[in-house]
Amino acid sequence: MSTPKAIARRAHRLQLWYPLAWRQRYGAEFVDLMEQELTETPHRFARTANIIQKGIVARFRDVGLIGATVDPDAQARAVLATTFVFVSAFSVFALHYWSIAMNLWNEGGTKQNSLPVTFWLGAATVLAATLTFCVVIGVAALLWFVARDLVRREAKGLAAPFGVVVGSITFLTYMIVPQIQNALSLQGVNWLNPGQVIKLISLETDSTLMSIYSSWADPARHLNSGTVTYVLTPLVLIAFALSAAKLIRRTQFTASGARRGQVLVVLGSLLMVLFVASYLGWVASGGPPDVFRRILFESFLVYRSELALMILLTALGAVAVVRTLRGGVAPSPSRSYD
Amino acid sequence: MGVSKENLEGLGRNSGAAVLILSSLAGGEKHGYALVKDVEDFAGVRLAPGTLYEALARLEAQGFIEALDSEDRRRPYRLTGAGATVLTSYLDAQQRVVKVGRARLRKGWSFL
Repeated sequence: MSTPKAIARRAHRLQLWYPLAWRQRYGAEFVDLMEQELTETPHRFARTANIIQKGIVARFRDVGLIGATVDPDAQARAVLATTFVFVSAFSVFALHYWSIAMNLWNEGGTKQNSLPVTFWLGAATVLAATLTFCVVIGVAALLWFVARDLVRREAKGLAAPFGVVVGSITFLTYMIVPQIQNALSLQGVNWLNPGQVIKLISLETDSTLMSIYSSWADPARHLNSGTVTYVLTPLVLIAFALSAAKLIRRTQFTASGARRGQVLVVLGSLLMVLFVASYLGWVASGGPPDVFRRILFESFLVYRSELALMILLTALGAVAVVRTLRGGVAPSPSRSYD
Repeated sequence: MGVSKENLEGLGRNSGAAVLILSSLAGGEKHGYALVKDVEDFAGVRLAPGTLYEALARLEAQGFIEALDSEDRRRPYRLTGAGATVLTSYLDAQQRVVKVGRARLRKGWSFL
């Protein structure tokens, strides 16, 4: 026999399957209903499964990936925010994959530098750069809108995520400064030669990302005062993407700003699809040496999970584009469950 | 494509729960648990909590029901004019189906 306190705890835990916006609107009455349900029938598997299923559906609806457009404004905003998270995460993975390919191309023999390999790698280079540029432009535009709203005091709940985004950017800048200093200190580099600059960028990118992976793979061995920033970087990136998404959902966009956001969603998703295609083209045309191919696709968990995540993000991005094209980003904020 | 404001067909898989909720609220305002018990009494169906709140959120967003102010956690819901209209038209359509179905059964399957 469960005590009222235990029942209240279980009811509270069950509502956690739902997203925050839903809980703020329906949470209290849902917990009340569940307390009565659980008192009457303490255990019913079908009921718990129903809550879990509907909670997950509500979470997908909350980020704009499924559900009918009861509130097109809120949905369009949610899709824009979600796509931003996807594109940001994807661009980190894309930069890593691109830097591996570029380093192999620079070190490779005739086969690795054949025309098809060079073509696909060139395409991946342009796409990775454009993707990163899109994220940077998107963040700059977002910060401009948010700063304007903060000055005018027109929207609530912006200060905290704005602080996290600015703090994250400061941290990431601090992270890459040593890499830039390291590159600048190298002798014999012709900075007007794009090939040499790209080579340096790929070397520094790969080295930084591998340091992050090593710090996470074996923190006991790698963690010290010098590498703590590497451990923190993925957490900072997650905080950055989620806070930026929160800002997108709360900021007042102008009509033209909203349209540009919509264009960025479509462009970002298209770039993800094209990057995956060009990377696969690089692999298929014999880009990676056989030994590396085995490491990449047969034994190295990090690379395989990264590739799987990239493909998943691309698929979800395609869903987001379809939903954006059906709706539109509204120039005024609203929430699904407000 | 958006959910239709004029009928319940746009609710898709939720239309069953929606009709039960609207029918229950047609008899007066009720909170979540009272709705579950009432639907169980008149329809013999126990609405699962997830299904109930999914339908409530949708119906409220469409303006077919409205949440009333409450001092405690039990927030009652009330049928709106639009909700009454849409329920009437849905039940009228169902009644036509019932009428035709029964007439045809009587004609061709009278031995049943």
